[in-house]
Amino acid sequence: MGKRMICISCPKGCELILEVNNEKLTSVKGNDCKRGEMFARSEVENPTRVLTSVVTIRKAKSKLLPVISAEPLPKQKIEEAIKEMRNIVVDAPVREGEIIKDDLAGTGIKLLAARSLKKIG
Amino acid sequence: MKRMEIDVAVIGAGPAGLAAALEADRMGKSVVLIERSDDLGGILQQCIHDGFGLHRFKKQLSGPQYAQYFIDELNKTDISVLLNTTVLSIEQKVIHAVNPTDGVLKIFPKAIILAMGCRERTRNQVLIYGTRPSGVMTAGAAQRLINLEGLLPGKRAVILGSGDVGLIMARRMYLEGIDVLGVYEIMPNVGGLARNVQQCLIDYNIPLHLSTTVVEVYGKETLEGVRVAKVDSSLKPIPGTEEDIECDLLVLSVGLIPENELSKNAGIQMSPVTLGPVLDESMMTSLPGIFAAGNVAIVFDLVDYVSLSAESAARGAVRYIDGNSPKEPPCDIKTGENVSSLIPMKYHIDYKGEDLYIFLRAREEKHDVRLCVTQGDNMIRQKLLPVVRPAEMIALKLSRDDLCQITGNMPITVSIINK
Repeated sequence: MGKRMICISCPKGCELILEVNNEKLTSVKGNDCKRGEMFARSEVENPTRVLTSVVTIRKAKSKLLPVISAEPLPKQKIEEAIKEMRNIVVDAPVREGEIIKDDLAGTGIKLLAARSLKKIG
Repeated sequence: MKRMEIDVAVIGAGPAGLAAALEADRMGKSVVLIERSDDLGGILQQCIHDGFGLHRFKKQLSGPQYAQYFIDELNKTDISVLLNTTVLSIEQKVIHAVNPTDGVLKIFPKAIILAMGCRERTRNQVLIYGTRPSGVMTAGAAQRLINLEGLLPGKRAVILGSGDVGLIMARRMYLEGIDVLGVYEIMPNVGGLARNVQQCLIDYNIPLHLSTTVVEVYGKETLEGVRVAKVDSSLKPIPGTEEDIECDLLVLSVGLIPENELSKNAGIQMSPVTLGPVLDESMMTSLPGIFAAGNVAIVFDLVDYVSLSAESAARGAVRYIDGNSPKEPPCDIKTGENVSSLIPMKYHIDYKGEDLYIFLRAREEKHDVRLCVTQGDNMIRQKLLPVVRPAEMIALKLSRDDLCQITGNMPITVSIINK
């Protein structure tokens, strides 16, 4: 019996059927491209997701700065990473792509600013 | 009163307006970009989730990142940007606008590109019975409160409708500590993209109830709960299936409508199918020199296509200004079998542009189909597709060679048939 899931690599949303043995992927069907296979393997062996949220920013016209993890984060670290982000406060100016935090939830993955905000006042 | 003469005026600085302004600027025209809010980027600035730009940038950006690319480009140009500026009307191709610094402005452009985007359907448009408590809002409003204002709109949420914004908000609210009790969808299928069901609902064990809807809201001042019920095949609630759910937030994700008050008041012919202006291959409306781009024309689901449509409109506007607009009468492009809506709706055989995209939606989900563009018995372009779904817009590129096969002004039909 295969496990069914939808590939999230692109908006197409292929429906995958995964065959799993001993927590290893043995086969995948339903994917239209190679990314589907990579996604299936990662889902079985180490599921990851890109995490986006907001952090507090001072001296900018907005109160919040959108942020994004530089790489997909192990799924089980997402809630811990979100909690860490609640305590982050940065000051404008900020450039898109600037590192906001070096190590998210002990994963070694960086958190980046997702937009530029000028300093005001 | 301040007066301004310009080649191209773009109304709205979301993804469509930014792309249109940049393309017109690249082609050497003077451009003014008019935006009613105090920020560039439009709705992208509150869409902090990733998944934007896969076609254009070959990576998954968040909304603000996608916008930032265009804003950085804009900052390198001489495009005039008018923020906090509301366009009141367009009369005889003259734009009347108002802002706090200039007061009333009169702008005399050679061409106008409408890029006002779309807005969300509200509770009034889905007719929910009950009281009028606070705590009932659209998914976009909840998104704005959480991602821009830093406010949590409730503690226990129910989502009505399974459009993409609703699914994205289910995950967002969950991660911000709101108890997301479920997503209720009146149709038997999901409104948004399949991948959003996976990464926003299944990932976080948020239940999805199809063929179920909210029939009543209750609560005096603030929302206290909603009543849901299953519906039959004609979408009528089935008596005896009602269930009450205690919640203080009802989030509506029940569809988007192109925002066309300005277009209608300007006298532009509208399409009852797309709810946007009737457009030709250059995205020109029924009023010569006025073009439309992005969600004001048809509701897209990928921002990449919004940008494409905007660049196409900008090139059309430049051809118009340079006197290169088509002169021949157009042929109609019609929706055929299993096609619910499309743009453009008209094609001129003396169109001088390059490739042409037809953007369309399927009426129902079908597997292994053939997408066909025909004129009479002549097959102009066909493409095999493994699957078509109403939620996923199809972009079909017609090359110059394809376009050369179009003759006279007999209507062109786009249809999706069995392979």
